[in-house]
Amino acid sequence: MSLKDILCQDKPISLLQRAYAHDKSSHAYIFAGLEGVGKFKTAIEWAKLLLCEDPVAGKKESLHFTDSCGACGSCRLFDAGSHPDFNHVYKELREFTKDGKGKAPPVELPIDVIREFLIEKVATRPTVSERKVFVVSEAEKLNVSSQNCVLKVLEEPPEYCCIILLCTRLERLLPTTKSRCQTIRFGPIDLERITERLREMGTDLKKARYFARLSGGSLGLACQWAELELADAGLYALKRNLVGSIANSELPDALELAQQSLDDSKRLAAAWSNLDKSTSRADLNRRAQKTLIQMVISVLHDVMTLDVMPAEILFNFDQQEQVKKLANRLEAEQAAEKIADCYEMLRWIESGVNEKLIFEQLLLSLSVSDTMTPKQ
Amino acid sequence: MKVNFSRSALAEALALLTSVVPSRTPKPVLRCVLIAAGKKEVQISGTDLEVGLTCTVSGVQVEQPGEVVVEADKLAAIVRESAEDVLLLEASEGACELVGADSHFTIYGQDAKQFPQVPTFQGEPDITVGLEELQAGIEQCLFATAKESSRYAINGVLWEIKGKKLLLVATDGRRLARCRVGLAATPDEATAQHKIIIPAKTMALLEKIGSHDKEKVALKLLDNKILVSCANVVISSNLVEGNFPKYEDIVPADYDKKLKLSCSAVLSAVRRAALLTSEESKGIRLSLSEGSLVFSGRAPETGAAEVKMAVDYAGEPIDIGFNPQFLIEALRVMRTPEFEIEVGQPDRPGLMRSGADLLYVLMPINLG
Repeated sequence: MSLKDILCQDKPISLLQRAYAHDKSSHAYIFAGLEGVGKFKTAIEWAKLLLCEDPVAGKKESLHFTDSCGACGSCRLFDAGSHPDFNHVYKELREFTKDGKGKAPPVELPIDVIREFLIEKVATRPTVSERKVFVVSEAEKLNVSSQNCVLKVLEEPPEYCCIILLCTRLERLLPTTKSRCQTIRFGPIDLERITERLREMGTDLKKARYFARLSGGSLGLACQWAELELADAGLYALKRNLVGSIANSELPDALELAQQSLDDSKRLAAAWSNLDKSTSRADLNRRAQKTLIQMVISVLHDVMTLDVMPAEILFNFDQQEQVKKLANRLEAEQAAEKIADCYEMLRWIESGVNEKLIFEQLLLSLSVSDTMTPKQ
Repeated sequence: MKVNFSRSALAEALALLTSVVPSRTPKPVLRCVLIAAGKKEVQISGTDLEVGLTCTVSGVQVEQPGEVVVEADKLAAIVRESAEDVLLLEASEGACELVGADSHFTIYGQDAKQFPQVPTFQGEPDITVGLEELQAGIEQCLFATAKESSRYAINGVLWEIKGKKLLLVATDGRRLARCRVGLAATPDEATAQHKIIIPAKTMALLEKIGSHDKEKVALKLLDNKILVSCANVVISSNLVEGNFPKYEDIVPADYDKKLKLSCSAVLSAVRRAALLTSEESKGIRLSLSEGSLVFSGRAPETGAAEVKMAVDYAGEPIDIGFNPQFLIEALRVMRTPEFEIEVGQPDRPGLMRSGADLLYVLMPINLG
């Protein structure tokens, strides 16, 4: 793996490459974009390049393109995950802070982690390479005090330092944080490429296409779903069920359906935790709930666009009948409103609202305005 | 690998290593030490990626050379609890066995290739200094470093070479300690230009090494690290980045109010006066007048304390406030029976000297 292997992020990478060629790389970056579009991968490869002892200069499409050599001492250490000058800062590190022993994994990125794993480490000079790179994952979870604490370092880090904040929601960062960093935006990935990748992993074409569309350009998410599906978690079957039930259910079923969705999301999170050991259970629960809500959004989106788009490019192209059935009861405008509601639910999940309430609210709101009862 | 260790020597080495090896870290391999047996000697290394320590263990008998990486805490605990004089350590692929007279332990190890490299001391040292002098110097300045500060530079101790002396300077912005340590020889010019800042953790470690005082410490100053070799121990440490404040500028040179005092008498007076100070009015007042020095403390809701001392002083009277904790910490590390104190105005720093080598500058407090 190296910089040139990163899919569909030519623009941000060429930006970085230009800066590198002119020796003007910034001391602090914000990599902003959806989850799973390659921000972390790019940050890692960029770090590897900055730390590499013998970077290889070459050309890609007539532009200068420098990449890490992959063979020097620094690169080998990097690949082994033990490079002393590369620091990954993430919220689960709290367990390793001075007072963090035995504490539950935090929801926000706590200030202790920032102090001990970023600010203290910035002060000592690099050991192996000439630079030091810090990658802060989930920077949108930095609370106000953590952000204020990091300002001084972001403004004026020692010259060997490069700090990269990975952020999915730029609006969560303070203006003072943003103004100290160069923001690089990462766009969604081409759906065809995602489908291809999922096919390579061994997913059926139908499922691959659905997951690609559902992910909205997030290769990381799509791959995780595909892995789940390959591990027999029944994600696709769950989706078929969900779409079917939304299309057919009546108002009195809403609560039952909510309970079922909740159970489904728990089952999903359990399967997920077998695949992804490093993420905390609470986070996986949230991720599973979000997946279900995204599925609901996808159906509503289909209802909205059914009349204006060819049926092949619907999210639920494989369940057109059900989508049509739902469209009979629901106007496009209504569907748009429901989608807005769903996004509200996604925000609730982030802020830790009781999951059962969320699903009940969601499915009741779907049924209240005649969604689940035939049009008069 | 198969080695017979003298238990006490191994325990000593591991005790030193466990002060470097982090007990909780996201990289599990850092919790381990690397035991490398050569033909005749055994070296044990540990690191937290900032400070590295390699210890050559004495009293070993190598039957078969090799390498093994095992968790430091567990190994140290086993060696500490064992009672035998000799322990046999036998390591094979991924596991390490410790055999005593009546016991047998197996510890699962990690891949030796994944263990980060711990730098070794090679070539001629840049400077050499007596262990006892260096450790005395560290004791006298380390306490003054800043504990948590966003100005990285003052989280460490500045090392500066002036002629045949090594200057150690530490400050936290409110007080400053500088002490001079004599070098064995005048270093060459290139070395003398180095101005480096060493993390407080490394300094604390240097204070712990060595078995007897006559030993010499060899130091090597590289671009981004320092290597220290003393007897059977090699320490490598990263340096702290940043510009150390220009401390010479704040050492006052124009004071006329000087007097000599006894360390122990002043320490006792400061302690007693500090008993009645509150959180808000942390300072104690030093009132100097002809023939007497009065230490007084006051806590608005509790009471007031006053300790008098006869001194040999004939200048103008002056009242000045200091943080008693800062006075106590400095007085504790002084090794002379008497010290000199100089003050100028109530709003300018006080200056303390002990012997020829220790200088302490202390900012006053406004007592209102």
